[in-house]
Amino acid sequence: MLKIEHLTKTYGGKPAVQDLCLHIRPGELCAFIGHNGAGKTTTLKCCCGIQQFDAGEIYVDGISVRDDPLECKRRLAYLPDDPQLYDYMTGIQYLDFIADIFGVSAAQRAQRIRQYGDAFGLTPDLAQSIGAYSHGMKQKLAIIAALLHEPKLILMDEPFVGLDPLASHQLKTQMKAFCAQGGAIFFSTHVLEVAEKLCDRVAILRKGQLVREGSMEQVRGDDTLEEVFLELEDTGEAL
Amino acid sequence: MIRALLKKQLLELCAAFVRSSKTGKRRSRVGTFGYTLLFTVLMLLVMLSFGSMALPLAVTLVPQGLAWLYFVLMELSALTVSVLASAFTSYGHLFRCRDNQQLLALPIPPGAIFAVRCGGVYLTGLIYLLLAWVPSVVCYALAAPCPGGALLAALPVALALAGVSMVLAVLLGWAVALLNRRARHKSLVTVVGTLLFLAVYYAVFQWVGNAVDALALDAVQAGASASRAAAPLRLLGLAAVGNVPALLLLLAAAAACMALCGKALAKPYLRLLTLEPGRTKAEYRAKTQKKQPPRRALLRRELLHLGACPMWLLNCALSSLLLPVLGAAALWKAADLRAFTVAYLPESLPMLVCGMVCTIAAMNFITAPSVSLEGSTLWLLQSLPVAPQQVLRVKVELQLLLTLPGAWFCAGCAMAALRIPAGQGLLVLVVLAAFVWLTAQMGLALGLCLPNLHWVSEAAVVKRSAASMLAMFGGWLLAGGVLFLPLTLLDYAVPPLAAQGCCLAVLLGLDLLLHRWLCTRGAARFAALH
Repeated sequence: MLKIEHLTKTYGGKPAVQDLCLHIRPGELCAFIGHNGAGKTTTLKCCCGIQQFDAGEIYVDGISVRDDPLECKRRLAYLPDDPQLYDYMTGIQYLDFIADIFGVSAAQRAQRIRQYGDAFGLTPDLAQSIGAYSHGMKQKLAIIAALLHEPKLILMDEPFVGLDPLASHQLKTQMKAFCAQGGAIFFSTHVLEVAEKLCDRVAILRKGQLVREGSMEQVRGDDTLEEVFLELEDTGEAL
Repeated sequence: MIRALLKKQLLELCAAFVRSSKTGKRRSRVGTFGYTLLFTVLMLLVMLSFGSMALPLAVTLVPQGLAWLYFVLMELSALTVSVLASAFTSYGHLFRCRDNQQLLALPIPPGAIFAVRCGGVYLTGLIYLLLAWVPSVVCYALAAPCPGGALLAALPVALALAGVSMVLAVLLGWAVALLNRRARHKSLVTVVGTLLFLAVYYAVFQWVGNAVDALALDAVQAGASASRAAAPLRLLGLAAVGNVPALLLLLAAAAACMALCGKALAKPYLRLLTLEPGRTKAEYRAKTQKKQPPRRALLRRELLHLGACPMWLLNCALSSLLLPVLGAAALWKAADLRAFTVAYLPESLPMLVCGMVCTIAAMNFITAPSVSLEGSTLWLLQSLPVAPQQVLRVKVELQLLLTLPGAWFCAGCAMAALRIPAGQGLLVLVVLAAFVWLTAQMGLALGLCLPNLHWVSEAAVVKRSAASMLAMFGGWLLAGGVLFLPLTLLDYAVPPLAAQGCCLAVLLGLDLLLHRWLCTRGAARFAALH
């Protein structure tokens, strides 16, 4: 579903991501972990076509992000770490805007807004202006918007930040259900316990380079994910 | 503490000079120099236009010993420019900054935040005041035999006038904030409140203007002496000439106004800044929403954004209101309009109408700050499956939608009042459409070339950005071209329709060039913004 081949991205000559290769198949839930400034957000932004990259290739459902970014964007949803939404819209106006852009039919959007709105407990607040939303409510709205057009791939940057325990649980349930239906999720997180319990794959990035990647069992072995991560940080071992 | 806050405020005001608003990084020396040069040239151009108005007045009034009268007129003009410039931004500047919570969380007295933000309003007003005031003083120096006193008094007078302008702007911002606490439709209240303020200000200005006319007549007839009723206005003029008691009086009056304003408003500032009155929660009722094509969804989004941003609406879309009003006025005062244009050749009238309507339409530059106003929400448009070209096209469409009907109505009314033949009238409407399309595209291109996505207050992109300024003055320059190109061709015996046809051809040529740029390089720039 997502194929990253030799991705390299530099900022003013400084490499942010170097020769990154990663392959996420349909149905996989892959955690992307690394220290602050490791290049996780840059990678995610390159994958969804927000940022240009210097070398390599990214394919979403077999389509090159470089050659046909619009077709790729139709198949994916992106959720940034701090979802700044349109404060001048109400929640429902925002969801309708997203649904219109993705061409979601009236019946489907009504059903999905009800389904996800109820799941995340946001339905009663949909008539409020987004400007009056808390960070967590904005996060929930962004998640609902991401699920609205039933993408094949979801890219999430720190999706659990700002969510209350109930919403966090709901998100995990939705993520699992999404992958069970054949979708793929690639998300960055610093909460290693969540990654360990939720994901079947993990990729660890260090200073822009992939230092470990594989199934959770392969990467973790007999240790915890935290122990593996800390060890990799100490030794600076490369893949 | 005040020093640190002032430094922050100054950094905000001067951010565009030292930091690239596109990348957020510090500009190189060459970049800073280039940007400063661009700003200076723009300022000089505006000053030159004010100077061209001031010089004839100076050479007429000053030799007659009516220097004070000249200065009264120029002081009122400068004050008007300053008040108009800062009134539209004072509410946003004082109450709607992004760093409100950040500053309130620090151990800073709210009064200090208020004082420093008033300082920002003061500086904005002063800069605009100087645009009109500096050329006035220079013209006086050219016309007067010994201008020393006026030159010495020029700075204190400017500082005092900027103080008065600040007090008026702050009072307006305060009134809007008070109304907004209770209002449901905050943007509407802000827009209506500001327009009402301007209407009152205009009425007072007219009244003062009439008093000045009477004063001038009186002074000329009585040899520079004036009636007692006009004594305060005379004092205002004398202060600028260099009369020390009058100058001291003006400074004291301005300082008293500022102190009173500060004393009265500083204390309740925190309450107004932080108290959100309990609003009734809107109840959500699920209803089936009709599916719309992406273009319409994007256009609706742009409209919602514009409607929710009073500063953008007031500064960049005022012509949408002015044009229909002026059109109706042209029909209402048709006889006066015909009498006014009786000296012009009948074949030049369509060009005059076209030029005038273009000048007013150029005051709409909605597209110029629209890219920057996306700010931190830009990621959304970039991550959604819409082509950058489509986003840019919708931004241009919004300006066309809000300007062209009004421009056509205004021109139609004026042409009906002047009884211009239908054939020529139709061509005027086509020229207008080409002009509005061009200004919309030019504003957008400037917004893409000079973006600022890291603003703290909307005023930084709507009011103080190079893109907005260049779009406004560039629009006026183009309007001048639309007026003078066909008139010049008429002088060379080119038939009127052909003269206007040439103008249309030039406009369409520029339109197509800009359209091509926006679809290629402009779109690439938009996609790469971050």
